[in-house]
Amino acid sequence: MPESPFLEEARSLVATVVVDDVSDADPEEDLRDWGLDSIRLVGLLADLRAEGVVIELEELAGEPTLQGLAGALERARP
Amino acid sequence: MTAGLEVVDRGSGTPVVLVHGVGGSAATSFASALPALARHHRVLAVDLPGSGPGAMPPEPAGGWTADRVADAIATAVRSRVDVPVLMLGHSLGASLAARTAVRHPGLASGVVLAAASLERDARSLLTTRLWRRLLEVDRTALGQYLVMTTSSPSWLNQLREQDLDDLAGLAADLVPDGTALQLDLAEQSDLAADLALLDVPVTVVLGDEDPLAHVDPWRRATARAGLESLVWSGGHDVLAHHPHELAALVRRLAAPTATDQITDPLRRIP
Repeated sequence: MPESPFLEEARSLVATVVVDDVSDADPEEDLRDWGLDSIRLVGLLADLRAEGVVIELEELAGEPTLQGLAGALERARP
Repeated sequence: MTAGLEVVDRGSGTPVVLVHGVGGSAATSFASALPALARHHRVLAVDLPGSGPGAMPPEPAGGWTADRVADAIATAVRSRVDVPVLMLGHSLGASLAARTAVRHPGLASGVVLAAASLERDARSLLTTRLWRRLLEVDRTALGQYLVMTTSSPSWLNQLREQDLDDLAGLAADLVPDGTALQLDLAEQSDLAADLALLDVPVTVVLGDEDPLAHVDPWRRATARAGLESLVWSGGHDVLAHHPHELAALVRRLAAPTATDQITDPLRRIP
């Protein structure tokens, strides 16, 4: 089954900031196990904000997963 | 007999032992590089007493000291692997990695000291005191203080006010129960003395904007002792910003090929 466009976007965004290969990461897996530490997460959100996509850290800090990021992207897109 | 430390044991290959600093943990302090390291190595990341998800290990008779933690690290490593390991420590973890290697000859094939203070100076004394005080009176302020002292100014300046508050909040949430004990250990550390006793290759990694571990004392020490010294961009959190570089460094040091074993003087930054 193809991924939702937001999940696909979340995956490619995370792939740009972590050293691990997240192409196989389960949408519900904790991304901290894939190398997404707080520095990388905050940096990622800062980059998104520069493009007008505003996601607050607290939306993700509790659920740092691809699914969590996809949901946040869906909410943040105008 | 030493109490058992929790270890994050991941990957396979030549073993590398990671030791975090004050207020860190095996899982969080090396999070950005751990997946890359585990691709080529068996990574044994040790939780110092009072860090990580597990309960505080039982205190040895006489309490935890740097020597007893070093012995506990050696026990944790030896119970899992029986070949020499590359020991890599960050900050306090660097002092403990060096102490472990000194007290347990044959355990380490090499030591990497990252963002480590060579000597206890006035600033490190005041740093541990203020850290301890903030731990007692105000966790929010401690989070702000940690962000301010561990991140490089140039990285922080790219962030918005809200990001800074968020980061400080995360830092405050991550403060482990063992912080006070780990500050005690930091106050006991004497890396310069241990360094003089180490008889394995030592590599020093520093952040160019690290207010806690200055480049200058290391410049003199590494030139004198002929140690490899690398300066990467970043603050006290230098390793978190350079997962690729860290993985490449560990790969070179933990699995030296015949060519790599020949010392290249050009590699050494005086």
